[in-house]
This record gives sequence, C-alpha cells and structure tokens, in this order.
Amino acid sequence: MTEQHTPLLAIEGLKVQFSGPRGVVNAVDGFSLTVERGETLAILGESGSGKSVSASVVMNILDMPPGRITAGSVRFEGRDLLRMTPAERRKINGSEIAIIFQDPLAHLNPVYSVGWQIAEVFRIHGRARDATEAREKAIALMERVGIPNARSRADQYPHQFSGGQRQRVMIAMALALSPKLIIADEPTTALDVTVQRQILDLLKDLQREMGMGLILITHDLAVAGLMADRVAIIKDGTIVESGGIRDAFTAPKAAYTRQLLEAIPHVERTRRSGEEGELRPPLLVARDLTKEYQLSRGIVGGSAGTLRAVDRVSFTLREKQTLGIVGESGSGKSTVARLLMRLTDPSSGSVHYRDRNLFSLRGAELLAFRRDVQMVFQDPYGSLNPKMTVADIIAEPLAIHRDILPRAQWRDRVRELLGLVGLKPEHAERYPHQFSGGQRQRIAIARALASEPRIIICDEAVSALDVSIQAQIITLLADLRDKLDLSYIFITHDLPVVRSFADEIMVMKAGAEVEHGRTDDLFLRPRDDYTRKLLSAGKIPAWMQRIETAGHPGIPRAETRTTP
Amino acid sequence: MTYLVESTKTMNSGPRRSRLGTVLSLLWADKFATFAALFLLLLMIACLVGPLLVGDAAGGINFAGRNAPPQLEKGFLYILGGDNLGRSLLARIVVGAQTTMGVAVAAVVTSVVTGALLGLVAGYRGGLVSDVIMRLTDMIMSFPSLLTALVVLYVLGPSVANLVIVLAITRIPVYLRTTRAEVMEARSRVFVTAAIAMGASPARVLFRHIVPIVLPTLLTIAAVDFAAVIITESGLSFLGLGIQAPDFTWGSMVATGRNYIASAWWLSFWPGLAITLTALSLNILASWLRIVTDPQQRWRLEGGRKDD
Repeated sequence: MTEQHTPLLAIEGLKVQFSGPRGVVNAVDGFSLTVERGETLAILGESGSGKSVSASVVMNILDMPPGRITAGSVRFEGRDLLRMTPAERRKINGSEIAIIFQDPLAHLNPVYSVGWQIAEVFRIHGRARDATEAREKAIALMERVGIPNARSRADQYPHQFSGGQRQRVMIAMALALSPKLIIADEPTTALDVTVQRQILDLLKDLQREMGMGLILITHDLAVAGLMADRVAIIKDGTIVESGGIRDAFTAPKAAYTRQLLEAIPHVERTRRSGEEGELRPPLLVARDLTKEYQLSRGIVGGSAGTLRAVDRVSFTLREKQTLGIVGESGSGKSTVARLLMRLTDPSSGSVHYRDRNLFSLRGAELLAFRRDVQMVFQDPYGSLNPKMTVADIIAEPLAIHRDILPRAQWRDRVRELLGLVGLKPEHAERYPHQFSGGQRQRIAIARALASEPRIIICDEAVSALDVSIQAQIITLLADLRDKLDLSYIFITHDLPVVRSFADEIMVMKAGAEVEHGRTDDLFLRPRDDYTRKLLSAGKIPAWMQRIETAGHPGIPRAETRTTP
Repeated sequence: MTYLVESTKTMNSGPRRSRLGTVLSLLWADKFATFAALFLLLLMIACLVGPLLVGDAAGGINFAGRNAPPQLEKGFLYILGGDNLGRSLLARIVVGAQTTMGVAVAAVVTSVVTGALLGLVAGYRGGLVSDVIMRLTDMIMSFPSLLTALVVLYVLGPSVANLVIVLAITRIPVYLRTTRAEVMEARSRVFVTAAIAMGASPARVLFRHIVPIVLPTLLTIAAVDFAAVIITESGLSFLGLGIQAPDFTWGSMVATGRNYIASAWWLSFWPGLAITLTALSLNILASWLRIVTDPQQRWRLEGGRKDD
C-alpha cells in the first residue's frame, strides 16, 4: 500500500433521513465503509436496515424528497460523488459503477426486446459506432453471461425469459461497459435455490475475470459466506460489525451478529415432534392426487394439450406430525395446498380426512372440514384484509363458524390468541399495516388457531420473512404443535428451513414426487439426484456450518424471540 | 419495533371519544371537507323547508322585476336578481334544490346500487352470467346516452320517475364495469382466498371483504357523476323531455337563462354556480370519506404531523 492509495469506493459518515408520516427517520445513520478493486464486500442486514438506501445513494437513485442526505461523503476513486454535477454523475453511472437489482422483471422494460435494451447501454454512452455494432456487442455479452442461442434470443422480450435468465440479462447490462464497481442488491433473492447458485457462480467468475469491486447486498448469511471477502453487518442504519467474513462469523463481536448466526438452521437444535411417529393414527391421507390444467390456444379456444400441475402424489399426515413438502417454483407444491384446502378440485385421486373423502364433502360437512383445517399463507401483507382491525381478522373464523363461541366471548378469545402467538392484547384494535412482516405472520397464525383446528397448512409461511424472524416463527409453530396437538403440512422451497422442524419430507419436481422419507434419511442419504442438487444448492459453506453458536451462549433463547 | 412504539403514542392519545365525536374531529381536520359538509347541510335544509319559506316568491309572476339584475333595492329576495318572468332567482334556487337533488340523488343511487350489484355478480361469478351482463352493458354503452334517453322518454312520456330511470340506465355501465374490474382484482387477493379457505360463504366474502375494497372507488365516481346527471337532466329539460313546467330544476333554470345570456347573465349564472358548488362539495367530501375509510391513510387526518 502506497501513500497515494485510494480505495475504489469509500463511504464516510453517511447519513440519510426520510421524512415520513411518523416524523423523520434516520434510514442510514453514520455509515462508513470501503471497497477495494477486485474485492467483494457483503452488506448484510434485514429488511428496513438501510442497506438498499446506501446503495441508492451511491447510484444517485435515492428518491429525494422524502429522502435527504444530511452528512457524509461518498468517494469513488477519490472523487466525491455527492459534490458532482448531475452530468458528471451520469457519466459514472453505468460506465464505472453499475447496479444489479433484485427483481429483474421490474427493471426490464417489457415493450423492448432484450437485445435492444442491452445495446441501449452502448448507445447511451457512445461506445458503439452504430446500431449494428451495438447489437453485436449485446449478443456477445449475452453469450458471456451464459444465455444459449444468444443471437436468436436477443430479439425476444423479457417475459419470454425465465427468472434466472432475466437476472443474467441484468448482469449483462451491468457488465456492458466494464464497470469498476458493481452493486448487486439482493441479486438472487427472487430466484429458485438451484438457480441462485448458478447466478452467484457467474458473478464470482466474472468478477475474478474482470477484477471489479463488488458490493453484495443481501439478507442471506449463506450467500454472504459463499461470496464475500469482507462483510459489513448493519442494523437500524448503522454498521454493527465489519471485517473479514470468517472473523466476523466465527468470532462475532456484536450481539446482533450472534443473533443472526443463531438463526442458521442447525441439525442439533431439532424442533421435531419426537419419535414413534409411525404409530400415530393417520389424519389426512392423499392417494394418487392429480391435477391437470387445460392449456387454451389463444382466443379461438380449443385445447393445446394439458399441463399436469400435480402428478399422482400420495402421502399420509399423522396426528401431531409435520410433513414438509419441498420444491422449487412450478413444482406443483402450491397446487397441492389448494387441493388440500379444497380451493380447487383434482382431476383424479382422493384425499381422505378422518376416513371421509374430502372431495365429496358438501354443506355442513365441508364447513366442519374448513374449521378443522386452516392455512397460513406466504405473504403476510396480502393475506390480511387491510381494512379490518386485528380483532376482526382473528375473530373471523369465529364469525364464520358460529358454534365455536358465543359472540360475547370473542374479545377475550382474541386476546388469548394474541398472547399465544407472542403479541399483546392491545394490538387487537390496530390495523395490519401497523405491524412488521413477522408480526403480521403471527396475526395470520392467531387467525388460523381461532377455530381450534387439527391441521394447519403453511404455504411458504416463512419465505417472505427475514432469517431471524423465520427462526422465531418456526419456533412458535413448533411450540404450538406441542401445546395444541396440531399437525402441519409445511410447504417451502427452502430445504434447510424444514430440516429442524419436519418429521417427514416429500420433495416435488414438475408436479411429481421425487423423493419421500424421514427427514434425517433424506438429508443424510438422499437417493435422488434432484434432492442432492437441492441440498447442495441450499447448503451453507462448510466452514460456516462448523460455527458453533452454542459456544457463544451470549443471548438466552427468550431474548432472541424479540417480543414486540 | 420503534414503529410500533410510535404508533402507540398516537393511538392512545387522549381519552376514547364517541363514534360521532371521532367523525366530527376527523372532518374538522380537513377544512375543505368541513366547508363542503356545511354547504351540503345547508342544501339539505333548503330541500326540506325551502318550499315552505319562499315557495310563493318562486312561483308568482312579477313583471316589474323582469330580468332584474342582482341588487339590494328590491329587497333580500332579489339579491341575486329576477328571472325572465320577474321571479326571485334566490327563491327559485332554494325551491329548485328539492327537485334537482331529488332527481339527481335518485338517479345516482339507483345506478350505483344496480351497477354495483350486477358488477359484483359479474366479477365474482364469471362465466356465462358475467358474459350476459357484460354484453347487455355493451349494448347500453353503444347507444349515445342522449339518444337512449330521447327514445325512452318519448315512448314512456316525460315524468320525474321516467327521467330518473333513464338517467340511471345511461349511468349504470360506468359503475358496473368499474365494480367488475375491481372485484376481479380483489377476488384474486390472498385474504379473499384465506376467507374462502376458512369456510366463509360467498355473501360474506363479497360484503365483508370485497365491497369495502370497491366502495371508495364507486363513491368517488358517484360524486363526479352527480354533476353530470344534473347537466344531462337540464339538457333533457331543455329538449322538453325532462322536468315539465311548472316544476323546475337548476338545470332547467340554466336552460331558460340561455336565451338571455347576452342581456341578463345572472339567469344562468346563479343556478349554474349552485350546480358547481354542489358537485364540488360532493367531490371534496367523497375524497375525505375515501381517506377516512382507509386505515392506511387515516393518519393524515388523525393529527399526523408533517415535520418536513
């Protein structure tokens, strides 16, 4: 290091304020970090921690107002970005600093072809003599990021690409002008696990090849552990821990880091219902469940064939057991949930609940079934009616099934349920938007419990939540199972999440069952290639698995379950 | 977490007020809405007791005051001037309010209720029922509304009831299509699926979950439509198919004044102003109502401080 050494990017004492309905919020509060050439820095934090805001400042895409930069400097190769004129900033954006967003579909323009959009980057910055040259460069880039048949695919539109390919296109656009710094904001969060790994590998290869600096913004410890040289862990707008990634993870200094590491699903800390599950009586038995959809051929009608969303799936859910159904998007796992909830009818096959065929239930019998089987949805923002108070939401099953409780006792029951899921009685009068994602999911669970169900179907119930919240919700579900004798069907795309929780796991791919067995058998001796692929894709790097959080007893359990 | 602490402060401030008290304080928080509500209250009083107070002045012909300009010399009643037969414009506006509002309210309510109900059915059921309803709507929409009104009123004969029916029919498609589109969007939302999965009956799903989502949009359209209905009615009155003399509305007053627009502008101006103010008040009140009924917007009226 010479004295004139200037880091590629140096952020110093950055403060960003947002004025909102509830006064001024310091989204970023005294933020300092540096990135060197060829280095990967992971900014790790949960939603609302200010990690994306700091990236927006670097890219000059912060919405101002409501946002306001009140202090600090952002130096790129020694030049302060915050003091530049808009024209100077534009010259740097794209050509020297580029960004990759989380949701590639939202950031690609649906009415232009993909090739055109990549070529646009060359045209804007005058790096191509004419349209033909820009196009050729775009095609070369598409090949480079691993899109097959790039020449013909360049004329296709964003919706014709899969999620992973769209992210490759975004990467191609970011790389177009060989930037010195790339900011990747949750680049793989919206993707399936097996695709995630491919995209991360691609990013890593390209970075090594081109010697760029990479800022990887993520909430996923595994992604950070896999990719980063250094890490900055941020909470509430300030950096609570920074340094080499191995140091930070193996010898964490901040309590928050330990809390994050605690949330990594560990085998030892099992939350399963216990052994001898086979002996319990079966509750829900599915046999050869099949659901086909007719694909229509445009407006004229007529069938263009059938799509088998679910293909002869069979399983048995026993009392007080948890069955995990694992698969990537399009595997048919959500269709299974819809079938089990009788939101749709199967093409063939049967589901028996307590020896009654689910699909022949009518009227009062169906109502009784709906009382016994409840569902918790993935999106805690969408599954609660925004115009109803929490009390009304939780009491809704009671309003539907009038024989459970007389109206006069609803109020007390709602308070009791709120306590059961770790919320406070006075939360009853509020509206869903006043709660965080994890709290909303607790409300959804309280609602599911209101009718004293036997089975709760969780469709990706923790996927939309931050990792530490995920762990809390899983713990809550396991506690409730033991307390209330519940059975769960837990549908997820995330194998590690179910490992500590499910007794049995069924892996699905393209509508069919790939592998089915006891959780430990499946994790230790996976028989199918696809299961193995899922396992390796979701795996945290080996050195991280050895992190023994038990060695830092620091925070007792009760404290990690931050009661709101 | 800080988020919740903050909202605790705002929500628990002060003792709990009664429902009416809460509504009034929310109304007071929006000064425009307060004025709009006061104006509509005044209008309502005019509708109820206007004819008793100034009914004679509105009907009696007085050639001495023919097209009298706005003035104070002829007394309080002529403060807005006199019409082509010398009747007090102020009195006529007060008395005309009853018929005007009666026709407009009846027409708008009929079309909102019919359109919303059909839209709910079409949006929620889908399939053949929806197709039939939508094609009927297309038929209504494909005729110029004035032409439909002319034909129907010519056949049925002009009367207040028929006028209301005609005005309602021509307005139904707007509500129907809006409702259907919003219902189809709301139906696919997760909390609706959740309600169905809990065993909620279609009626419960519709009226507890979907209607509250659709209603604010409908109310906003209805408020805007109100003025349009008054104008259409005046057009029909002008053609001799609407309100028949000696009954009159603000619309027919504007139509009458049209002949004198160059020499006595006040004949058309005052009733026109009354229409505008009514429509504006309804608009302001509708947007206030939309904010009040939306839990995520209500803080704007609940003493939400703006620190910026």
